[in-house]
Amino acid sequence: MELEHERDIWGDFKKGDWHAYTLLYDTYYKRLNNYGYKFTRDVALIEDAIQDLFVKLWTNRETLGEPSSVKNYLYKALRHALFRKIKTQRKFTLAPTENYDYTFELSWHDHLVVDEDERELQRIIKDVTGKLPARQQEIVYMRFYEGLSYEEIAEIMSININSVYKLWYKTVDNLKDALRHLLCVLLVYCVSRTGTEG
Amino acid sequence: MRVQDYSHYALTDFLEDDFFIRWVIAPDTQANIFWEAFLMHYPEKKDVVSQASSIIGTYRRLETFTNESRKDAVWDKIRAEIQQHHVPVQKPARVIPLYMRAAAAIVLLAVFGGVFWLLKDHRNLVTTAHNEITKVILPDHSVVMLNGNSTLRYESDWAADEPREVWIDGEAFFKVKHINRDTLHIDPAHRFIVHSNNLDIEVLGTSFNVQQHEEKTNVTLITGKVKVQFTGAPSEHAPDVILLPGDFVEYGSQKLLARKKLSNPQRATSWMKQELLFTNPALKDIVKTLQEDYGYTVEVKEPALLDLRIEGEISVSSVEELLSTVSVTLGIRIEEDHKHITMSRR
Repeated sequence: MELEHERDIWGDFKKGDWHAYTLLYDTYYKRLNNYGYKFTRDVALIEDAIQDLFVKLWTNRETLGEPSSVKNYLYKALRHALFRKIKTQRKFTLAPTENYDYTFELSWHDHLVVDEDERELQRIIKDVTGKLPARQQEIVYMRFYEGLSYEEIAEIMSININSVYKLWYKTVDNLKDALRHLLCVLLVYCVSRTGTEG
Repeated sequence: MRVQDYSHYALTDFLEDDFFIRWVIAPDTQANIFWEAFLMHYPEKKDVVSQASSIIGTYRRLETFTNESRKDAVWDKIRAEIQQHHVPVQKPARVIPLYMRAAAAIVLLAVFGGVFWLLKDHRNLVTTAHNEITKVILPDHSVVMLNGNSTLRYESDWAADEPREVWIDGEAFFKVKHINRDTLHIDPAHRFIVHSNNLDIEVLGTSFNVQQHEEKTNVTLITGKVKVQFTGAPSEHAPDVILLPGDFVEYGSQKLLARKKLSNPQRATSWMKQELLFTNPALKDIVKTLQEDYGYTVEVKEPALLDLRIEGEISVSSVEELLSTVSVTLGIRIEEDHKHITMSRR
C-alpha cells in the first residue's frame, strides 16, 4: 500500500468509515499472521491477538494518532497483544508456547519450483534461525523480511536504538558459526546457479 | 554511499547493511545500477554478494505463514465482537443527563431488528422508540442512522442483480455505499432506492437526510447526487427533481412545497449528534420537538407563551440543558416530572 494512500485510508478509518477499516484488515491480515508467527506457533493465539487488535482499533479509533507507518504501528500493537495473551496463557496453562509444531508454509511462493539445492539451503537456514532466542528471531524477521531500519525496529519493539544494535550484532554473531557451515553449501549452490544461468 | 565503501565487506557486513538488504528485498533501478557498478569494480566480491542475497532470499521464502484460510472466519469474529460492544444504550425515562453526549459518540446498533413477516415479503423491520437513535448497516454495508419514532424496512437478502430498496417512515440519514462509478449511466442492478409514503429517492452514491412527518416529506442532500420522484402525484404536477449537495426539497399535499439551497445543510443531520439546534425559535417550535422527537408531554399554562420567541441560535446537547436555557432566556418557570413538562409564567 502506498504511503499517501495508506494515510488517506487511516484518516477515513478514524472517521468511522467501515470500508476503510475492512481495507486495513484485508491489507495487513497476512502480514500480521506472518509476524505473529515469529513469536509463537500457536496459530489460535495469533488469531486471538489479531482479533483483539482489530476490535481495539475500531473501538478506540477516535483517539488513535497518525502513525508515520501504519504497518509498523500495527506490528507494534500486535506484539503488545500477543505478549499480553502469552502472559495470561502461561498463568492458566502449563503448556509452554514454544513447544508447537514447526510447520512452514510456502503459500506466498508456491509458484516457485523448489529445487534440491534450494531445499537444502532452506533446511539449514530454518535450522540456524530456529535455534536463535525469540527476540533474535524477531529481529532477523524485521531485517530480512521487512527490511526495517534500526530506528523502526526500536520503535516496534519499544526499546532504545542501542539495544537494537546490540541485539542485531549478537544475532549475526550467533549466525556466524552456522554461516560458516552454510557457506560450503552456498558455494555449491551459487556456483551451480551461475552455471545454469550462464 | 560510494562503491569503494563496500570493498572490504565480508558476508556478515552485507547482512548487516540496510542498503544491501533493501536492494535484495525490493530492487529498484537506482540500486541495481549501484550494485552492478560495485561488482564491476570488485568482481572478487561476486560470490559473497550472491551468498548474502541467497541467505536473505531463502529466509524470506521460508518464513511465510499467512493463515489465509482463516481470514474470513477471523473477520467474522471481529465483527461479531464489535457489534456486541455496542449494544444500544437504553435511556432512563426521567433525566437526560450529560452522558447523552457520550452515548451519541458511540455507534448504536439496531435494537428492534427483528425479522417479521410483512405482506408476502421476508423483510427486516427496524423501529425506534422515542428519543432513540439507531444505526443500521444494510446488507451492502450502507449505513442508515434512524431517528426516534421511525421505521425502516428492507429485504434481508439483496440480490446482486436487483436494485437495493428500503422503505422509510420517520426520519433517517443515509450514507449509501458507492457501486456506480459512472453516475450518468446507472446500471439498473446498482440502483439504490428509498421509498417514503409519497416520494421515491433514487441514489447515485451519496449521503442525505430524509424526514417524513405525517403527510410531508423533506429531503436534504449532504454529498453526492440523488433523483427524487414524487409518487403521490401525477408526474405533470410534480416532475422528478435532481438534488445536488446542500439542496432541500419538501413535498406534501400532492405538491412540491419548498425547494431551496440550504446554507448549512449539516444542520438537517444534527439530530444524529443528539444536538438540539434551533434558530430564532418560538416556544411552540421547541415544544413540538420535545413532544415529537423526545416523547415528552408538555403542558403550557398560558397559550400566549407559545408565541414567545428566542432571538438567535440555541445549540445544546441535552433536553435538560435546553430547558434551563429556555427558562432563563424567556423568564418562564419550567418543571419536569417523569417525561411531563409544565411551563408557566413566573
